[in-house]
Parts: sequence; structure tokens; C-alpha cells
Amino acid sequence: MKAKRIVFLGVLSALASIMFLIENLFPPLIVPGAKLGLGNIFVLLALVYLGFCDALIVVVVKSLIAAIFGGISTLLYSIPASITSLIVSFCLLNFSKSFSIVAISSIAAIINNLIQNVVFALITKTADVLLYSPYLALIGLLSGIVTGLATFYVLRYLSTFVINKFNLKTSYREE
Amino acid sequence: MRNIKEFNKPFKKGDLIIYIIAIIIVVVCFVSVALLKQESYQGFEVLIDNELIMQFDFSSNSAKIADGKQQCIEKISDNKYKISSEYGFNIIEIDKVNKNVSVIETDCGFSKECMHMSLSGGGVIICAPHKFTVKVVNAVDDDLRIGWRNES
Repeated sequence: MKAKRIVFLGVLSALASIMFLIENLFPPLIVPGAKLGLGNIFVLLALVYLGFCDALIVVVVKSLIAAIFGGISTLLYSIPASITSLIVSFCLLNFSKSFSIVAISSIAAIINNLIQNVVFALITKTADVLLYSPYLALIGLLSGIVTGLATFYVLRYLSTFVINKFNLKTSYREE
Repeated sequence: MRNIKEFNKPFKKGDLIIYIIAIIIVVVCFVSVALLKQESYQGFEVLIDNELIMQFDFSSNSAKIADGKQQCIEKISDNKYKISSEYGFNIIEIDKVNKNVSVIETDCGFSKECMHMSLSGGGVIICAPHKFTVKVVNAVDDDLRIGWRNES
């Protein structure tokens, strides 16, 4: 059972990293650095199916693989932002049942984009980069809704299959 | 223990709060940036590692290169400059009509974000791996011209 869990975690990490690399081949959406963040679908799946620590592993693996291709400096602004938004989505997901995965994803994407923007401004010591923040927040909202909807449909159609196949009953149960 | 039924709706009542907070964040960002942004600018300056390399004035179409930084700049054509440093190079193209600058070529990493930035869009172009910054300046101060080489 534990091995299956690790396999599932590995598949999610690999998918998240591949999504990130494929996305990087396309030009950014309107604003520099803005992306759809499709890799986050798999982070959210890890969060729902497995739990916080496993989602954290997916995030760290994704950031490390991104750093191999994009340079070590990308770690400095990807890690703080993605971990903060992971903590926020974990709290919203677990301390209340009145939020849907789509809304959680959208607020997490906004927080992720804004923190990356602030960290980038701090590292490069130029406050002017913050001028991009409204566009980044808006794109975060929209891309968060898109990734959230994608996660929603994956959860809807994959649930039974995944739970039976990987014995993920420890943190997620079907009734 | 999570229940599968918790995830059967793309929209729930509580979502409204999140969306309202999200929209407030976006609006606050837009308003604060609108207040801070310099609408009119006279020219731009190029910095590497926070050191001034060159200034360009749109009204007189003249470039001024900082003292001792001549080796960093290579004029390719009338409106194209190659700015190189120990970190790498960026080639900028100046659009004098629209008062804009864009990076058309660079040898930095993977995503080349700086090639998608423009002065009219955000007021600043940054290439983080090269510590390269282009930002707008309001008026070029006459006192600053001491020690500058005119190149127009």
C-alpha cells in the first residue's frame, strides 16, 4: 500500500514537472512570467488525494526540475510563492467545507503570482517590477479558475478509479 | 477523512467570499499602480547591477553613455544597441515614435522573460540573470550630463 502511494506521488510529480516544461515553450500570457500554471493541477490532486506533505513534495520536485532548466535563481522566487499558496489552499480545503476547489485554486494562483512578483522586486532591488502586479493578479485569478476547473473534472472522473487502484483510503474516502 | 461528495460542485456558497477577496486584491493592485505609474516620461536609462550605463532622451533622440562604460555598449544600427556585461548581452531596440524600448535578443537562460517586457506596458524591463534593467526617467537632469559622452 505504501509503495502504491509513492508510485502515485511520483506520477503526480512527473506530470507537474512535464506540464511546467511544456508551458515554458509557449510565450507568456500578455505579462512577462505569467503562465497558466497547469502543473498546479497535480499539486492540487496530491493535496486532495494524499495530503499536505505529499503536495509539498510535488511542489519541491517541480521547482527543482524547473531550476535545472531555468537556472538556480528561479528557485528563490518559485519556492516561497508556491509553498505559501500551498499552505493557503491546504487551510481553505481543510478548515472549511464551504469552498470549492475552483475558488481555492484561483486565490492560490493570485497569492502565488503576487508573492513571486514581490520576491522578484526584492531580489532585483527594483520596485518598478511591482507595476506588473495588477496584471499578474488578474491573470492569476483567471488561470486559477482554469486550473481549478481542470482539477475539478479530474477529481470527478478519476476518483473511484484512483482510489481503488492506489488504495488511497488513508486520507480520502469514497462514500 | 475527506468525502468525495465535497468535490462534486464547481461552485459553492463560500466561494463568493473568495471571489470577492480576489477581486478586491486585483482592484487594489490596479488602483495603487495607477497612482504610482509615471504617465509621461522623457527617456529611459539602462542599468547593470544598479550601475548606470546609458541614458536616452526621446525628445532630442540622443544617447549618453556613462563614463568608463563605453566598452559595455555597441551601437549596431541607428536604433539598436548591444549592451554586454560579464553576465551576458542584451540587444535593445528603440522605438522613437512610440517612446518604447524592447529587448530583441539576449543570451540569458530558458524563458527570456525580458523579451516580452516593454516600457509602455510596465515602465520597466528586467533581465534578472544579467542584472540588466531598463527604466523610464522623467527628465534628464543637466547636472548628470557631466562626464557623459554624447552620441546621437
